[in-house]
Amino acid sequence: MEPKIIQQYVDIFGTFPPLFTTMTYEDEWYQKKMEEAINNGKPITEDDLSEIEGADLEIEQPKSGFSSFKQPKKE
Amino acid sequence: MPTKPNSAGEQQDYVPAGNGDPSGEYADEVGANVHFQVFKKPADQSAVKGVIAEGKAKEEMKIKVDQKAQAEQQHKTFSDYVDSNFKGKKTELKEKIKTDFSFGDPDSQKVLLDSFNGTGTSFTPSKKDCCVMLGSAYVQTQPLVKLSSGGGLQDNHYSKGGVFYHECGHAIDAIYSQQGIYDEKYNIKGWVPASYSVKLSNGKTLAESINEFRKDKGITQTYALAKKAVEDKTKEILESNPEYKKKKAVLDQLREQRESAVKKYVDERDSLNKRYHNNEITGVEYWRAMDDIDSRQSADKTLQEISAKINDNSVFGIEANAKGIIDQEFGDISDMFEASYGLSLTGMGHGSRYWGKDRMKRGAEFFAEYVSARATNQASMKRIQEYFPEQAKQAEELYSKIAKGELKKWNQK
Repeated sequence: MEPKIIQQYVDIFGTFPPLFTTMTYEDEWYQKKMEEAINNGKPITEDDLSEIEGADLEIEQPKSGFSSFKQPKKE
Repeated sequence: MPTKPNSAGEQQDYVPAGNGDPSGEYADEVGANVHFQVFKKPADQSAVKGVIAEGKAKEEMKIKVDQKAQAEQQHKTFSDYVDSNFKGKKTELKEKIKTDFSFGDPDSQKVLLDSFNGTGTSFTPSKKDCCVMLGSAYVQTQPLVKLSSGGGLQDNHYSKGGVFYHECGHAIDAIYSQQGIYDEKYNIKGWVPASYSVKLSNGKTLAESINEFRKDKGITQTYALAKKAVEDKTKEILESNPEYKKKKAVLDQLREQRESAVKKYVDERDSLNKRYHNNEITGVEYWRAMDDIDSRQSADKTLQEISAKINDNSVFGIEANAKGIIDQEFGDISDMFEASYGLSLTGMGHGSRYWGKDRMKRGAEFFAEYVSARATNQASMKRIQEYFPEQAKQAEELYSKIAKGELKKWNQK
């Protein structure tokens, strides 16, 4: 199902907005952002999405307390 | 209250358990509370926390024994593997996983099943596609592949089965983890993905090669060439369609007209923002004025007429089709350029924030994209080999070591 807003966006700007991993054009927040862009006549840039982290890989970090863990010395 | 970023990059409340152990809860992307716990040596727990902890430790041991038995199971087909290792009730997703697997070439199917067999790597439904590598110095648990049901417009931008093989590529990377330095700054050791730990014939890991490429002066020229290839191919696809050529000329004029018609509202908003930031108006006055601008813009007859004409001349279907072809062919290297050059090629990537200072992710993502392209997308493979030739050779070498059984899995060591 294609949201109408993406069609409006592409019709007006002649280009698709960025699509980061884990994001979709169906996301409600992204549809609002596209609507704002249309109203303001300014296409969405990758910089506009700088707060988005398309984390499709999560690495659970080893916790402190390992025998190999050494705290840094105080300077 | 402290927060924890979720997979969409949004901050969510983090609620520590409060009982002194390093566990707690956080809301996952579908709003459910997820409990997490750092595994400890059972003996340590019983010594410190007495009978209750001992009971709990025994329970954890039982779970681990069950996991181990499950992990050691060998499955002859991937279908059997999924039936035994799917955690959830969404049977339609289970079937989708099997279908996605079938889109891979026979070699990739074999490598995936051989890698997963005996590890208990599991699949679970999720709103977003993601692979979780779980590791610690004491216990190495199985990678968890979280998959969405997919569907929607974004599916056009990936090859069939491409996302599935990408996430499984991460899992394979984790399955062949080696003990190594996890954090150079603090000399923290742990299990680290194969792409970050396996030395290849050039004496470097795949991640080291990717990170070195970032400093290569030739990368600017490589990026420019790839960008031009995207533009040329897009133009070729679009202009081969006579309907597009006809409507495009009209659309270009209409777009210019719209830009002029919208300008006065854009200027009004900019002026309003300045007044608010200069404390000339209150927040209430700001929103009242903003609502007024929005209302006048919505009711603007000229804008409505232009928008209707734009809609009548829409070439969205043609452009969406072209964008899908481009993203499927260049999407993997778009992300690779974002990781190594800082700019995506087609707007597809993880977002600059994802990469940060983490040196592990660049190699891991390159490997996952390589695994995905190799399995499901020959057009993307050609682009990877064209623009990242050395790194592609190293990814192939790592892949080949895995395929030939030259590397041991984490639970075989």
